[in-house]
Amino acid sequence: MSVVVAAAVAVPVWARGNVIVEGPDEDAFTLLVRAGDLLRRVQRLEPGARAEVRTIRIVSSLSGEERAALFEAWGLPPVDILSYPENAEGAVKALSDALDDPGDSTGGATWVLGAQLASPLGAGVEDPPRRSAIAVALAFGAARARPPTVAAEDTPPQRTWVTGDGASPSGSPNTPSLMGFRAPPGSGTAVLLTLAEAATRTPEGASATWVHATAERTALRTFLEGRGVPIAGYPVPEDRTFFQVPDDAWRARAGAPMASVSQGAYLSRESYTASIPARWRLEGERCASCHGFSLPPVGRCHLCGARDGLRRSRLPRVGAKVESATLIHKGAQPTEFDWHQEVYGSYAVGLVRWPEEGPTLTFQFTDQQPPGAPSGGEVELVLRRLYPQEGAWRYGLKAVLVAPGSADAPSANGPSRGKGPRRTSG
Amino acid sequence: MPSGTHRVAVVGVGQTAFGALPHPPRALLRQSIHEALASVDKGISPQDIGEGYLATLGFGGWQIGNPASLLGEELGLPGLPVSHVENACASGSTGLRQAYHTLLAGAADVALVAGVEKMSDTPSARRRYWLGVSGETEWERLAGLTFAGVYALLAERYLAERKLTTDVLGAVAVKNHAHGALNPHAHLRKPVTMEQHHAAASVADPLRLYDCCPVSDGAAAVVLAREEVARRFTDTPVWVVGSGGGSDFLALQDRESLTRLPATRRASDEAFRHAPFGREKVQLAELHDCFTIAELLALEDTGLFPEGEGPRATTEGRTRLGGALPVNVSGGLKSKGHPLGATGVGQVCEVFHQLRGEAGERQVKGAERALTHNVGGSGATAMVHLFST
Ligand SMILES: [Zn+2]
Repeated sequence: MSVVVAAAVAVPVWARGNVIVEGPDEDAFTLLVRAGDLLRRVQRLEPGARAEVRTIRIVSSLSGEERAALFEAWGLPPVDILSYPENAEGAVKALSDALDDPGDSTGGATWVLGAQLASPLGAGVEDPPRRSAIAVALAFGAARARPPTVAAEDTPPQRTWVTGDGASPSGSPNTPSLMGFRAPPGSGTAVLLTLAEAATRTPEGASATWVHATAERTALRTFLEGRGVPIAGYPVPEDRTFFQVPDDAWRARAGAPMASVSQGAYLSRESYTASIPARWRLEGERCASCHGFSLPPVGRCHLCGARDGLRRSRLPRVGAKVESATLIHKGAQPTEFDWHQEVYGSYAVGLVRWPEEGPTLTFQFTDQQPPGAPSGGEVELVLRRLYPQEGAWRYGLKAVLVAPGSADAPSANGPSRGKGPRRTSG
Repeated sequence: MPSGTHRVAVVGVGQTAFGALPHPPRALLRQSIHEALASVDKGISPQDIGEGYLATLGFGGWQIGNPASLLGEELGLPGLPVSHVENACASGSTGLRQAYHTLLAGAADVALVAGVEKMSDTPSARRRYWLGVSGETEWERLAGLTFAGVYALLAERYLAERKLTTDVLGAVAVKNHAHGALNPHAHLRKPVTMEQHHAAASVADPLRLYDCCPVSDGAAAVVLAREEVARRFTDTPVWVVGSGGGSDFLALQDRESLTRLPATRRASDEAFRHAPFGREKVQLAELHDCFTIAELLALEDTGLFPEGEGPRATTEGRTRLGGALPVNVSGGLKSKGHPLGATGVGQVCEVFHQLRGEAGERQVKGAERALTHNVGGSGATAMVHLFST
């Protein structure tokens, strides 16, 4: 008998309770990447859990190419992926199969991943049953497991929940629904309204259901505190600051055009694909002689020219600092970003420097509303859509500001910069 | 160093007005070439020209490959050896440098350098596509930057590190617009005030509308001759007495500094190495001011002003017409306009008229020595040239 040992929830910004952000650049692919990253983070918290992934059961209609790209994004060796239809039945089936799976001697985990792109507000953009498909499945799975432990940096109140059935928005507010989780006596789980969710299990040593809320605390707390959100046809809570934008943001997002970009500055599909290790995982080369970090790696130290003593290495996705940033207003964007500019307006772009490792890279900022030019701040890098080309989205890392800074803070680094470690002056 | 070993003569110049013009690119090119030939004091025949260089990006896709053959066609000289030169916004000065070296090497006696760009007729989406094609594609462009954004990143650091406000950017815009208002060939012939500068729409913070050069059409052409033959064409040539070039990492993220352009520094050092005068003798400069911040960077990177002096020199009026070292009396890219391939050649036209005392209302009195500076993109390439009477 297997049990759920970890659950992670990646809630895109347009669905978060108390932030008003557009989140134009997320889709099923980026959410699944995020959910998998979170899941690995939570797995490490559970002493009995093994880190290896044996099987992935996925509830989403990703193409084969996109499924393969998930492993690129996670930096994991590919394993079998079993696909389930993107609806509640598919989700229940996926989790049920995982729980019934006797496992094998390796003890590797099974991941169940699902992505839903329907608006959590039920704004009529998707068929209602899909809205909570994965939540239903997780609730189902966890209800069969032991009572959950909820783990978070600041542990939310211990409450148990089970999802309703994703009832239609026109139902009574008291009806179990996407928002109306109810706690049946003596059992339950903690899962949630999300757009991408993930569950994992191990055959042995499982002790609890974990809800990972470190990065997504806001959303989690929102639901654990039982605060409602306005759904079309439902009464609006008194606290109007609570949810103001996502409905419109969602509609705009759904309509984001797949602009055709035909010529000019052009990166072929082959060149783009070749750049993925550097672009998605920040894989470069560390020089043994000068400690410079070259990214993308070209077999030669960018700083001192050495060809020997180069070691494959990754930059961390957190901890880099904004060295200079600007806000790109309408008309100053390259055509590839017209879709973004038209729907969401100005966006920020900056140079981001790793103070320890040395290099500087250029990133667009995301999840900021209103957008600012956050010089001096610290960022986390997340995988998002960049722009469409030849019928497919190009993805890359974007920066999310996690700690603000002051405009002249980076000058403390001294004037010397570039791809190597900071030189000492004098 | 004996004079003569490192100099070639400018014997004729021609340029169209810069601006949103009704003429197609070939008509602009034709006009500039024939004006340049006609301007030669003692006359010149197309057959005298031994080598041609055409600077253009082929903006919008006009003629991306092989455009230089049009030089021969427009001269009525099919068969002329020609080359297309392209270093983004520094294409024109790159053509000048190529011709300078060709003539110094004795490979030809007379060379024609022309630059042309037609930008104003391109639909907005296509134009924005092309405005960034000379930036670094794989990282900068994929992050959503065109040149306005790239220069904004430079400006942001510059202002933060020097603890300056956007007033200093505004001072450059106000000055260059005042100059441009005096230039019949300028695109934006209107003065702007500091208030207008500050009130204008943001393009890429901290750059506002009047910090950015316009999108211009235009063409310019110059005729150069070896010293040995120059007097056949004019008794008052303007001499190119120094040429320097430099380059840098294409992307800002790879550069050592965000507040200096090393390509300009290298180009300037090289140009002065062979020149018969030093920086302190320069009497006017045409500096690359695609954005106001670019002029501020260039003031110090060329070495015309000591490190840290650029902003004060600007706000105190030392770079104005009538100041100690007038900068961009033509209006600069900012006000005269920036038809990419034509820009560097147009700078030579301005200097030619200035050093011959033919610049009318915007004449720098008694000017005998001048500097031109032309940057490709955000400093990936740069050229500096020196001129004297
Ligand atoms: Zn090295």
